[in-house]
Amino acid sequence: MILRGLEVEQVRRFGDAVRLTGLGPGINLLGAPNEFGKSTLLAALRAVFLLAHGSKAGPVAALQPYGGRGAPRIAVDFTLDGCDWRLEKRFMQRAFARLEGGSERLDGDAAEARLHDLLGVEAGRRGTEAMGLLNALWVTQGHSLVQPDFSDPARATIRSCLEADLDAMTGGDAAGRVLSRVDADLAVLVDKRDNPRGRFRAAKEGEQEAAAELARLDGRRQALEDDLSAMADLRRRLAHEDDADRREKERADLAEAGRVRDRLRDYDARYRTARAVRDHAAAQLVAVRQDLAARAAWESDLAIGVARIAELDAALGAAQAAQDAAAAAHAGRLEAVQVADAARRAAREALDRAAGRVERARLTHERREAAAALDRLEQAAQAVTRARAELDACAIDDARMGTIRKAERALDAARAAGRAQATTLDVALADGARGRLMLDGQALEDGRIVVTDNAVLRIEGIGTITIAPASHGRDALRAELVRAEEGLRRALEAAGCVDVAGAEAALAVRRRTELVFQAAQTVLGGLLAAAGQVPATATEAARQRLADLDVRIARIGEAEADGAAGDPLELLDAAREAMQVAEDAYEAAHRALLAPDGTMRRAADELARLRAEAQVARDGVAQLARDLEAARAVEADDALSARLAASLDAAGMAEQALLRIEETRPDGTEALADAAILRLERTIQDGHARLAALRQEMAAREARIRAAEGDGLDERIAAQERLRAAHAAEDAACEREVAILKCLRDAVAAAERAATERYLAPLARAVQPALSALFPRAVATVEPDFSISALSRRIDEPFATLSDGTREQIAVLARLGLADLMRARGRPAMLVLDDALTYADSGRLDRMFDILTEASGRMQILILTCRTELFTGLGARRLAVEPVGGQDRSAG
Amino acid sequence: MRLLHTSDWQIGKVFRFADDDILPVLQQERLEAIGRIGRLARAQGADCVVVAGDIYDHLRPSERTLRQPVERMRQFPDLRWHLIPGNHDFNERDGLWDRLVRTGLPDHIVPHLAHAPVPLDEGGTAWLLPAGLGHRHVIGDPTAWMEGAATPEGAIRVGLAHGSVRSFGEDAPGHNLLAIDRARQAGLSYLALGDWHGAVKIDARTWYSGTPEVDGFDVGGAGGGQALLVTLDGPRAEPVVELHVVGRFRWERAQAVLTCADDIAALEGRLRALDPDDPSRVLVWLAVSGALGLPDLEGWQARIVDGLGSALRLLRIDGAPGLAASSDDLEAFGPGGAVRAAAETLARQAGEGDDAARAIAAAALQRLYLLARDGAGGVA
Repeated sequence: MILRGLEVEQVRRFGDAVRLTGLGPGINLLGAPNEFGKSTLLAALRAVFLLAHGSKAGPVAALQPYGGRGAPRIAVDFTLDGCDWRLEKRFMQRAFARLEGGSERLDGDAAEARLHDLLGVEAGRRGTEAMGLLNALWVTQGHSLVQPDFSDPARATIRSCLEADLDAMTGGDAAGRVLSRVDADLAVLVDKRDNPRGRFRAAKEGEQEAAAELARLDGRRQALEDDLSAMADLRRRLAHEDDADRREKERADLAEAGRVRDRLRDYDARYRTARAVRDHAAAQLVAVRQDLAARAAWESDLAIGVARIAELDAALGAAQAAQDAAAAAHAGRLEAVQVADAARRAAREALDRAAGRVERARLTHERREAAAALDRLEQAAQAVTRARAELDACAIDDARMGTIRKAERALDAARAAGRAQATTLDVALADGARGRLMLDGQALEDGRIVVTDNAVLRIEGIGTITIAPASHGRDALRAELVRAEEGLRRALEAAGCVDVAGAEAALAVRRRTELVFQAAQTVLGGLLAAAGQVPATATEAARQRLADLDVRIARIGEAEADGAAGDPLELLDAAREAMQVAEDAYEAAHRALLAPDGTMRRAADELARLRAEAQVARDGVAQLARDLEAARAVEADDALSARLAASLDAAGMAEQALLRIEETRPDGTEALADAAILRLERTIQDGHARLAALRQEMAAREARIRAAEGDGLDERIAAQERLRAAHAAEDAACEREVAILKCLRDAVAAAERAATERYLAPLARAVQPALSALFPRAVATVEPDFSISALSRRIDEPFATLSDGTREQIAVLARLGLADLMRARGRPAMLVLDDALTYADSGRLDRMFDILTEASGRMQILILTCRTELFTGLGARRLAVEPVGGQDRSAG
Repeated sequence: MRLLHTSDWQIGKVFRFADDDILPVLQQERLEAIGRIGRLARAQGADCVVVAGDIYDHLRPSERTLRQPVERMRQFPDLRWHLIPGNHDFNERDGLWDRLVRTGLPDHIVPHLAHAPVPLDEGGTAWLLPAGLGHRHVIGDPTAWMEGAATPEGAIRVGLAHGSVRSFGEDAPGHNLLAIDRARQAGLSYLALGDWHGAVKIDARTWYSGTPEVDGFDVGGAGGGQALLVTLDGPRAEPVVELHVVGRFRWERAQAVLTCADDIAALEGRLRALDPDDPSRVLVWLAVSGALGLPDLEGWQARIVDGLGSALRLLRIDGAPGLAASSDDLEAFGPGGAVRAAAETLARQAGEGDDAARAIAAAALQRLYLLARDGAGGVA
């Protein structure tokens, strides 16, 4: 199909009629800016071919001019199968359709029908576009990125295009229907994950439930059978327990056991009696033998006792002699002690006397010392008193001396002042002039003379010269001098001195006196220093001590009135040595006195012991003699012998009797017999208890058995088994049904897939050359709905994951392939791309241009774009929009 | 005297193959048979009914099942019903029979649990020697005691026992095995036996009555569904035994090899002829083999499986006709296209591989045939 011209009027922005000019075979390019109306032109193209002229529905209304009502009019010139056609339609008001071509001229619905026939489309529903492949091939803006979405008629068209190639391609729909039916049937039995559902699931669950119930019932039946078995056992045991013969035997056994025990008890009593008799006889015999033995022992003891007494008596004599000797020795030693003591006392007295003499000598010496000390103390006190008196006699002291010296210095000062105002006369006497020069009567010598007052110089031989010094304040100086002289005089007077030299001498005397006083004080202080006393007290104490010493000396003197001559100390030492000798002698005697005490005590002890022992022996012998006498008095020795014989006989007879009884001893013991009785009694007693327990257990078991049987266990088990079998059969049937359906589905699906692959092959073949040109070595996967789902280069790349550019290019190629397919089947095919390929890079774009150029040799391609510069390399026809009727509204 | 001999009522029996609709009917009919027996006895002037064991199918029936046959017998107080335990309902201590006795049986229903002769009539002219089982499997002959059992001189001795008169191979050792000539050895006028479900005459004085209502496809003897009317004119007289039908259902086994539509028609005719008046009284266990084309398979399904399956009380089918898909059959799927290709695949699968896989493939093909035909009217 070749579009040759398009006119629009009253369509959206195009109010006045305009015509798209320049259309021709190959590639046609309308490049114009946005808002120019390119998409409007495409909408007009679709409308005139695909919308029914009589429709006033949305798609038609959308064609009306902006802002106003109008009747869109669209005319198109095209060539199809070598025939030129003109199609014109007006919509809304005064709608019409007209198709002219060859010899045909059709109007209205006839035109529409013919048009549909020409284009191979089906009328759409209520105002929508007619449906066919052209819809997919004329891509509106924004749809170039997605693959064509085919309507059913479009698919049918493609399929018919494809199937025309395959003689045997029938039954595709039938296969689809079968598949959907099989899937529906299968969906009743299994879910999407192939798990059973519906009756299939119910069968499986029912079988499981029945099996579980069956297991439970089997368990109960087992329990019932256990109960029945236990019940049978209980009956046997009950019969055993309840057996009269057995119980009778138990009672008989008990009675017999009682009799055995009685016999044992009887024997035991007799045996005990006989044994007591025997024991008594034996005891009698023992008593007789004891009596005999006692009597023999007494006699023996008596003899021993008498012999012992004799021994003791002899010993006693020896002991007495020993004691006497010891006593005599002791008396001797006592006397020696007394002598030694007397000697010791005499020595003590001599010693005391010697000591007294030594003491007296010491005291006498001490008294002398004390008298000397008193004397020294008294002299020192007197020296102090004297020195103090002399000191008190001295009128001068340092203070007064200071006053005198001060007055003297004042006088000297007054005198010096007077001399300073005086007239100085320097005298130089000529030889032989001595004495000739006289001042106030005194001869002058060489040297300086000071004249303080009016003076008269007489020069011998010459005359007199009166000198009156012109002194200022001479009177004041003179008065000062008088006051100084008076001061000195009073000071001297106070010190009791006549002049200064005298005062100095008196002061020196005072100093010496003070030294003497201090020396005396020091001496006295040394004597008193130890005592810390005042001199008077010290003196008194010294005197008192002297008196005490006198008293003590007097005392000793009295004791030593007859004092021997000689050195007291030597005498004292001699007395001490004598004393020591006397003490030693006494100690020796005393020790001697004490030493013999042990011997004497031992002798006394031995004597006492022997005496006591002798007494005991004598008492014992006496007692033995008495006892023996008494025993014999009671029972003579003959009688005792007779009793021994009788006892021997009795013991023998008793032993014999016991042996005879022992021979009659029954078997067993009483304890065993008691145990047997206890056991039998317990058996009988337990029998009753067991019987009761058995009956109780039987009742319980019976109740359980009845309950279980009332349930009809066996019947329920049979019913449950049937139920399980039924479910199992149902399950198997479902399994089989599923298997059949799957088998069928697999077969049909495989066949359909094979068929689809076969009839898709041409489409894939149609797309492949262009695809290879654009994507070398790539293969497209074409789906049964004719979409391209993936691109296989090295790996499969799903369509959705490809880049926008690639997806757009594939979408264009798919359309190109479809158009090729249609064209090859003699169907009208023409491609419109509105704003497509805007995502392509320059390399791809060039290849797309090559592909489009190549395809344009077979079909017309109309490209609408706002980016004219992109398509300059395409070598396309340039289209223009021009006003109809000479108005210049073209663009370009 | 006259008595009615029956056995193996097996009340409460559960038929595993029966669905929930059929099972109650089969079970109910076994009870109904008691009434028919009673009415037969009454009509024939029998004095009593002897039931030779297996009154119940289960040792522990439900209370209702336990009482139901009693209630049926209770409706015939003019008859004495002599019962013995069989191997299904043996006399276990604290078991079924104790329960039964505890329910308080009417006087005319007499369970015989001990092996001891009891008079059959007030005059003591006839004595019953009952040999019920005390265990499911009794070692030794439970009727052995009958030889030494004393009855009054000149009395008619009627033995009543349950067991087999011969061993059935090694799998069934000599349990409950009865001496085949027990009647002669024990001087019995008649030995009424139970256990076999078909009525069988062992000798002139020894009979199995069979079950009154058939309960299986594999029963020996006359097949069951009968009761025996026994007339005893004296201790020495040979008993006169008449078979009376008391059963309702007919159980049949059938076999068929199907290769064409005619075979199907013949099979249908044969099965419908079993009881033309009331096919619902018939239970059939059909073993089928052979192979059919697709249209014939459809016919098999329609006429036999669906048609007869609805007409008969029960149609149990073993096997199925195989698929013999001809090229004509495949033509029905059209000359080409996916469906035809699928049909060819399935036809190929139906002819190869293991049986199960082949059967599935054949069924799938059959299904495809139906679907393709239903879905696209032009096909076939």
